Amino acid sequence: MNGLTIKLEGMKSSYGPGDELSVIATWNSQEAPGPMEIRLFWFTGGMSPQQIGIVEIQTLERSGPSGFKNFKFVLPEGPRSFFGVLASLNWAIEAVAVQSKIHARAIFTVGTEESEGLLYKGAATEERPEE
Amino acid sequence: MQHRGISWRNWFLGLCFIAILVLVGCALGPDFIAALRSYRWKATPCKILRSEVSTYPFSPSVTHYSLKVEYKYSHNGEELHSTRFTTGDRQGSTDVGKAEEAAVRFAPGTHATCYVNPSDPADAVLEHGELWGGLVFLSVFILPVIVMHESIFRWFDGRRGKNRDLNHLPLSERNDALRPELRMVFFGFLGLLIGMALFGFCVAYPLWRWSQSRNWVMTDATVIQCQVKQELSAQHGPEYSLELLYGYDYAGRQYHSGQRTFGMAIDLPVVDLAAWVAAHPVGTAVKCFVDPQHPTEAVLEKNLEIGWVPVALGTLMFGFGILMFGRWWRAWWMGHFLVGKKLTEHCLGKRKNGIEHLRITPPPLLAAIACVFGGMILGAPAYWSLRKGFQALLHWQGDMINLLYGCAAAAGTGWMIYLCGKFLRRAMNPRPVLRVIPGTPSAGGKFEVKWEFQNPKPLEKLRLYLEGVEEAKVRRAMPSMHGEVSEEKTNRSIFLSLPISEDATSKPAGMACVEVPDSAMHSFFGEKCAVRWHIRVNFQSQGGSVLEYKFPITLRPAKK
Repeated sequence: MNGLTIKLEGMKSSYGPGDELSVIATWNSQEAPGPMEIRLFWFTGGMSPQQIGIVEIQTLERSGPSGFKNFKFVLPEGPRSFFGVLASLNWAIEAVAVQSKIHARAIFTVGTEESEGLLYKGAATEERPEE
Repeated sequence: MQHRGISWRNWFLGLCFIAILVLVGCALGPDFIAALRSYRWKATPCKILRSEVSTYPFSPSVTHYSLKVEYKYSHNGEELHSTRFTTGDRQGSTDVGKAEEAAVRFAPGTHATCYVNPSDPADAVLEHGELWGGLVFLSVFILPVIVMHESIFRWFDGRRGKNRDLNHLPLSERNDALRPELRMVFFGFLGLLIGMALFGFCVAYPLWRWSQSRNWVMTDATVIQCQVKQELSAQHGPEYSLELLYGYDYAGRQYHSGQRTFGMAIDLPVVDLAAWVAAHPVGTAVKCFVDPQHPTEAVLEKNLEIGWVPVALGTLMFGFGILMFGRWWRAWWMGHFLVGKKLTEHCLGKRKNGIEHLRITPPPLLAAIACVFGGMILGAPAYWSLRKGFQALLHWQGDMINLLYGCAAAAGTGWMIYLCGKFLRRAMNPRPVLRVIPGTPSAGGKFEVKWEFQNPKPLEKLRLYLEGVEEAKVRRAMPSMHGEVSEEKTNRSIFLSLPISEDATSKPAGMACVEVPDSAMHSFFGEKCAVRWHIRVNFQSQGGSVLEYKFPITLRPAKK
């Protein structure tokens, strides 16, 4: 049975721009594993078609049928995660076996400590004054 | 009940399609198959015994010209004769020049090549059959594709989604927003095809022929037939064309031609045609210009008639096709090359460190002037076409093409005039100009806004707001008379509106310091969704109406 897992080390509720992301990818396969890619990307959601923004890809040539490897990524300045009524954006890191397309994914948010990513906030939003 | 209704409608549409297919197949199929088969016939040398152009009535109002020919050839030592020019029952066409050119090529006494049916050697033709009928047959399939294109695209989208789920595609490979859409390719291809066809047939080809006519020789000719022919078209109603035939002598041989000028203007006014026909009755002695290299080619007037309708339509369709392919290419390029740092900079927006000057674009006075020019460009052909159309109506003739396109151009002119008035009013009113320091503020940071008014007047009210808007582009299908179509619309929603200044007793110039909340989402420019910021200026001058302008700004992520 082919197994591929990915885990964020020291998982936080939210990461900030410039933070270092430490990722452990573990695989366990019966056949020759082949190369694997670890992809850091953001993805949009909501009413519009999904857009994927790949920020960085690191490649690994797996030597044995099972093993694990640690990867490090530095998060860019943006974009930050947000959740609106019409659209949303979040981040993910995905391990993909290039040939078989077996994959594992971890989703996380990127933003400031105070920000939960919600666009519409009762405290911060002013009602648009009537003209 | 609704499901049964849809099912009956699909059955009906399917039966109609099959009926059209059968009718077109019966009408064009046998000729097309015979033409196709002739390409496998054996090429055999032959000698032309006699040839002449003959006419025969194709219908009560249409005359066809064909080559009446007899030739002999040998097959397995046996001498055979044939009188067939080409395959199919219809040997001729309305183009007399074509028959004349064939008569010159296959003049009596000349040696040529004929094509012999291997199954029946007595059956031979001088030319392979024309395969144009196949194109008409294909159009039976193309029309339903055009009408049902939205359903076809949706089916492909659904299938792709199912395959993606079945194959468990990784999330990082599901970039739907940057996937080049089939629609863009389809409409781009249609636009380019129609644009090139219009330019090619109505502009480029006549221009080329006219440029080649410098050495054409003037000779005497006599009008044999000259009348305006009326036909009913499904798209434009009654259509008029000139049915002309004149004879001339060149190099000791008599020729016939039906060409009046260079050009295939589809918007040739019927009043002009009728006037020309009245001035050139049957038997009139005229001068014509003959191509010395190809004496079957001749024109009465070396004018270039290019109507504005095919140029305008061709330009629009070609431009639309280029735009669709441009958008397709952009999506492909972004999907393949916009990664890493380039992607981050693209989606966060350009950083401007200095002062950002925000003005109303386009400048109202310039825009008004542009509208005047646009109105003049549209107004001239509108006036010309409508004048010709109404003149035709006075003679009880329906010059629908000039009336239709004249009205469209007139509507365009009216819209230009309306826009010109709108921009002029805007130019006469006070216009805000803003300066933002720094040019690209950050979330969680402060920035200064300075404002002043061009063409200042005392203000009764002035308010400024910093507003954040989320956007999402959504494609929606809707029924139309040409079948289902889809449209991509941008949905917008304001998620934050921060007052900058709400000073009721306002001066025409001022400044304010704005503190952007740390939790505010910065600008994000995605392909199908976005977070945008703008400064909204709402004001009212004394005695004037309330005006509002929005000035876009870029908000960068909070600094660490």
